[in-house]
Amino acid sequence: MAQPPLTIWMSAQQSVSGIKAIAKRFERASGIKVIVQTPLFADAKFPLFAPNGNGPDIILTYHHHVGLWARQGLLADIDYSVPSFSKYVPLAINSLKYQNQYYGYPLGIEVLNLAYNKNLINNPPSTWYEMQYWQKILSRQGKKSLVWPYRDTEMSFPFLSAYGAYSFAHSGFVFDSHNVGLNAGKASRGIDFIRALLAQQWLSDEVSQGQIERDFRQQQQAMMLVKPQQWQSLKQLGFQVGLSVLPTIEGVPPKPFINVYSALVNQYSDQKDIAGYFIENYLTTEQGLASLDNQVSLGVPAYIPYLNQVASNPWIQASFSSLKYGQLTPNTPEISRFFSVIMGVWLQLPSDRTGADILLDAQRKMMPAEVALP
Amino acid sequence: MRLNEVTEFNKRRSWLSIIDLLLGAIIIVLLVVLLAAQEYVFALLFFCLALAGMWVYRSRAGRPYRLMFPALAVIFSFSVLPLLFTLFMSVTNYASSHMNSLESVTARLLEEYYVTGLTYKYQVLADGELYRLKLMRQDESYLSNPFSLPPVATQSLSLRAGGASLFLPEADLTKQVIFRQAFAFEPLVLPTGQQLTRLDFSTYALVATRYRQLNEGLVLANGTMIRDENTLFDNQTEHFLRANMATGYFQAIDGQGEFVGPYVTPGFVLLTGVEQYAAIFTDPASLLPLLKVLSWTLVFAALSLLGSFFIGLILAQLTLRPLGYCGYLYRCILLLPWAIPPFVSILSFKVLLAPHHGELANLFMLLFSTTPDWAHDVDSARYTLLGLSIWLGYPYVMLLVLASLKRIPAVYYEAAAVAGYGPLQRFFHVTFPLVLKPLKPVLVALFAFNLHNFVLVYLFNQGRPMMLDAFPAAGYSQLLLNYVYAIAFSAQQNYALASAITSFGLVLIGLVALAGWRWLNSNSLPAGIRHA
Repeated sequence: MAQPPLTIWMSAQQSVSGIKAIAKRFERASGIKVIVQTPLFADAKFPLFAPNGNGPDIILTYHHHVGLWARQGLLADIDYSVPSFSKYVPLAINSLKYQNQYYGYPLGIEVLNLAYNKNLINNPPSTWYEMQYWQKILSRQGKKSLVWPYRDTEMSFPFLSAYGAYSFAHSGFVFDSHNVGLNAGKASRGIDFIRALLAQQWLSDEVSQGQIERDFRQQQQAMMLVKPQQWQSLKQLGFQVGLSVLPTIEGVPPKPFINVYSALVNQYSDQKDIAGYFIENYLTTEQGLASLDNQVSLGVPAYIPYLNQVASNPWIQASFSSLKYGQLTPNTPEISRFFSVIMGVWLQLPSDRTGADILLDAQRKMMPAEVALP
Repeated sequence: MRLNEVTEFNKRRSWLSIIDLLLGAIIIVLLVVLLAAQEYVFALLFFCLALAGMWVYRSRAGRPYRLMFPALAVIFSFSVLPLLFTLFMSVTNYASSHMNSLESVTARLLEEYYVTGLTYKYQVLADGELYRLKLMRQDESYLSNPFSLPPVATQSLSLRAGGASLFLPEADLTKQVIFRQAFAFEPLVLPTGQQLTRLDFSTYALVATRYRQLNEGLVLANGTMIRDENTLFDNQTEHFLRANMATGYFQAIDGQGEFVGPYVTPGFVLLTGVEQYAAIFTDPASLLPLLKVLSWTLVFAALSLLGSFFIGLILAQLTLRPLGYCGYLYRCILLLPWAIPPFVSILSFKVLLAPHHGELANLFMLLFSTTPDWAHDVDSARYTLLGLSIWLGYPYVMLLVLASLKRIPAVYYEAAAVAGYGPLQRFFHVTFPLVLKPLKPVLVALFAFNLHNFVLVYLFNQGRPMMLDAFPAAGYSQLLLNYVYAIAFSAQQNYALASAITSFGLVLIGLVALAGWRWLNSNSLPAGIRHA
């Protein structure tokens, strides 16, 4: 009986070669072959493939899938021992908790930050008032200040949340799927805020993420909203780039989504013990995380010994201080519904419906009568 | 025997021949194999087809169907059966959370186990050439007999107390993996007789099965007795669990038999009747977009059919003029869109038509000072898709028209000319009806193809722009297939809803197809020929 290989699925945008290096070390030590695959739409395929026994043993993805997949019975729960539990950042490990069970191992904590070109801006704006100042200065030079594709929920929702909107209410790390706050507080003023930027031609319909990155690279745009996956490329631009927290709006900090990159184990796998051993002893170690981090940044590492090792990095410090304002992406099963509903909100920005109307409608769509949950 | 005699002999045959028995035996063997593999649907399909085949080919009564049978068998297995399966799915709650039958979910729950408390740390120690297993728990310690890795046949582990003061290096990971392969799937027996199960690379534990079926039955507070295989007892939490036929999950019940507990995963497939259809028809946020998508699908198919037909016809007519070698070159160029795989040409058009920097978009800007804004404007998106679909479709029609044009006897044209018909009249009264008739089946096929032109929309713009108040999300330029695909393979993965929408759409499209079919079969002679 030959030992079957260990299969890992991940996105091609993540540190594939980092994982492959770790896999090679594991292969040498254990004699178990590790296959690293980057299927397209891995996150959509996993629930289809896993129950039939065709899924991977480990899938590397973000924590917000945990609720849905755990409810579908796709994920193996992890029984952490006290010493290993205490080696992970509490925020990260609790993001993988659903109905009092932990599913998977956290690797890195990602949050949206403001990257700025130090040649163009000496001090990053800490308030939107300062941002408007920079917009004036820079547009006089024919340059842009901060532009983002407003249809991207990760980037636009923080600006709604600064006015009080939230996705699902939470107490601690438990999210209430019945309490949706799309039109909470003065959220409709967040819509007006983005609409005003559109009206001033500050943001536009046409600008794509690729265009924004090109402008930033050519120093035509001074600031950009970035995720840790972009850090490595920002370091190779040939000019100094700084990282800071998002500027406050009317004194309130926007709440970016916190996403925890994690390793989840397939419940239907025949080698959950080997998968667990691989993750605990080869992946979430200082050496393992360093080889991931070297290719694509993990953001704030979730494994405390490695976090201590890199804590002096100013970008990790900036990211760490953003965590204070950020909000974990809820891991309830309904989060996918939230993402598709909020997408409809961005699409309606150019229309002439009022912001309050749009959000009320979205709120109604989040609460369909037929969804009955325990 | 001469041939006649053979036929006569066959006619007289009233008993089962050896061949019949042999075929019957083969069918039964294959049937048993399929049933043993639990492929009930395939077994049933195979059984029906085999019986029908026997009747058609081995009996006199079935003789008229001999030529038709293969086609009917193929149609049944590859069209009717998937259709029935889709219909079946649409009356269930089939989604990624409900993928397996109640029986298999019960079987899976019965396999679950939980740790009852005693856990032992273990190590595989290298003792020279041999290995030993050491088990530790607080001050208890056990040591196994030495064994080799990979183990010699019939070697088994036996534990005895002791080894607390034994310090040996731990075996390397390769050996631990071999140990796992050889010994991990059997229980480890302690000297006290307790059986331990290996959990991971450092732990053995006393485990117990989590759920058990209630053979003795369960009496509720109101005196009813529940006794079926879908009522389980949870050994860990000491709750009674039942399959809830309303939610599709196992849930804990209280003394009254009411479901009170949280869902126990995974869910099972459940017949829900017309629930999915009701969900479509009662919610305007899903019904209106569906109707819009359906009507656009039909309009798209009809217009791209008409477009490719007339462009193909006109271009074919033009290439018939005697141009010498130039004519061949001209035809080659016109056939080019067909030669390039649609996959490539659709993506190149996407690049060429990109607003602001696509070459074709710039050309439009220069010529008409406007360019289709197909990412945001509904009409532009639809016209662009129509244009693309005609571009991809006309060469096919042109080729077929060329073939049938050459078969129109010149006498007809001469007769028409004598009767005083001009070129345009000749085209409408002679060419058009004569070309249309042989082309009818092809046109129906092209129409059907355009109804399902998934690739074009998926690659070009994914059906954008999106409808504002549609939920699930729908696009203005989405075809039915793209819409269903988006529902089935979005994060929710609601296959039942997707099947219901498909079934509904199929009925409407089926009606249109029926009309097309009748048009195809209408055999009245075209007016032009009667004149000629």
